Amino acid sequence: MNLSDKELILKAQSGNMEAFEELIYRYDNQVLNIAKSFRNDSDDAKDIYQEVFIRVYNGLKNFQFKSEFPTWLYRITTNVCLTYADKKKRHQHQSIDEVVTYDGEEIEKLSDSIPGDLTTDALINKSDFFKQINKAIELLPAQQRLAFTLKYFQELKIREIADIMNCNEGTVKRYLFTSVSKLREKLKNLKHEV
Amino acid sequence: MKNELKEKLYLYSINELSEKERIEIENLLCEDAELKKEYYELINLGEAIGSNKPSPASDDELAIARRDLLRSLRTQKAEVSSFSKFVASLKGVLFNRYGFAFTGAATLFVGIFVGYIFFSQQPIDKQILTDSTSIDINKLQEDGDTKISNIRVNESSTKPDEIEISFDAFKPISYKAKKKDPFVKQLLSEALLNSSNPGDRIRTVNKISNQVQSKGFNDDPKIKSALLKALKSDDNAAVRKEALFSLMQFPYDEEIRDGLLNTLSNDKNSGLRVAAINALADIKTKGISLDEVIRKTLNKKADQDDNDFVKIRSASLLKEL
Repeated sequence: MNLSDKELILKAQSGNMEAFEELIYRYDNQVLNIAKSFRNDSDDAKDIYQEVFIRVYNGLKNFQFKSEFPTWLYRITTNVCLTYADKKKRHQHQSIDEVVTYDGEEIEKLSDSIPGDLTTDALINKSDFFKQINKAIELLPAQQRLAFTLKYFQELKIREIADIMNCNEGTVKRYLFTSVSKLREKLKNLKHEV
Repeated sequence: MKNELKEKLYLYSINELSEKERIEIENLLCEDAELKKEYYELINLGEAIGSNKPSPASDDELAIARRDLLRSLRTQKAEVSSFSKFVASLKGVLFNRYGFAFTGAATLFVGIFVGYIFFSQQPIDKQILTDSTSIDINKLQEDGDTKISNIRVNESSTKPDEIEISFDAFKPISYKAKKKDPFVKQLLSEALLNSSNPGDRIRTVNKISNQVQSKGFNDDPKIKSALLKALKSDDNAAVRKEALFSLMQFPYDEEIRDGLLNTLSNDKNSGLRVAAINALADIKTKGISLDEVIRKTLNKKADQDDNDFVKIRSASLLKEL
């Protein structure tokens, strides 16, 4: 089948499962990669992937071609990513500035758990440095993290990110600038060998 | 350094400025050492983040995600379509203008039918013996192994000089015959289905298992039907399991397939569900292809079962298919 997206969507809307599968196969790699870069976990990415396409399947009959299909699809993907992050957060209760307790006694700021006491002379190895980057990214608020991963890991332009996240470019710029500033703040005492 | 300038510098570092803004920043970079330092830090950070990019999803990951997704979608589609068909047909019958009349008529008909069945049942004819010569009482007593029980004096006797007594007379019978004897098979089937003692039922099903490989036994519909009924509804899991193993020695057909799928879908004992999957795997190794009905049930089980092993086993058999 070498049909356009529109033709496939029309067929899928009338109940043609093969057309829907073809539609999935065109874009699902990108969906899985967005999910994976956002969560940095294969199982979570698979859950998000599944949730996205079930929503697409249920919502396709109402799709009216007001936007491009991939834009609509990635918008759903980002929404599912954000919802998923909220769900996880409800379980984990983590925020970069949140004060956490251990056994109800010791209290420290979560951000302090990122080792920041190394001097510039103390070189840490590359993998540790990357661990700290990942940890710092995980602690970003969901919207900022999403904009960040779409920019740095999916290499999308700000205009495209705004389109997918359904917000204006200024908002995406602010998300990116704030998230990079936070990362720099958290990583400023770390030095790595590259 | 002003925040606005920092933000512009950052956007410059990720190549997101307009031509005019870019030239403006480049001019500033030539003049301002602090700005230049900030710029290189941003570039270094960008490179570090870029080199820490998560690996893209592998083909395997994508294939697994696709497989799971399609499985979920098919299950969802099947559930929705059968439910919507039922609702549509119910609506079609009940909510058109003839529907109410039809429903009323159908209810009336069912009522009359049930009433007829209920009230038309005749009492079972009971043989009443009126002469002691017609029953050899002495013979019954001499046999010794005839047991008389449940003796009742009936009040319904009409004549004052008569008395009516009912009793049950049981006599155990030993029946010895060739294995192929139809009555032997009938007795075994009866014992499997009607014996109240689970031990007896297990012994019966074991006996059937021992004989089932011989010709004349594994093509007997009564035996097969009794085994299928036991597999489906016997209270005792050991009896059901033994019945399953016996059935596996019968030539495979749709009845056996349905029996196995019923066990896989509905049996509360997870060991039996696994045994049903193993039986399907054995059937496959015999070169018999497993049809769509089996795949569908396995798909469902791989998705949802209380027992993780059943899920895993279903998924692995599906994979083999």
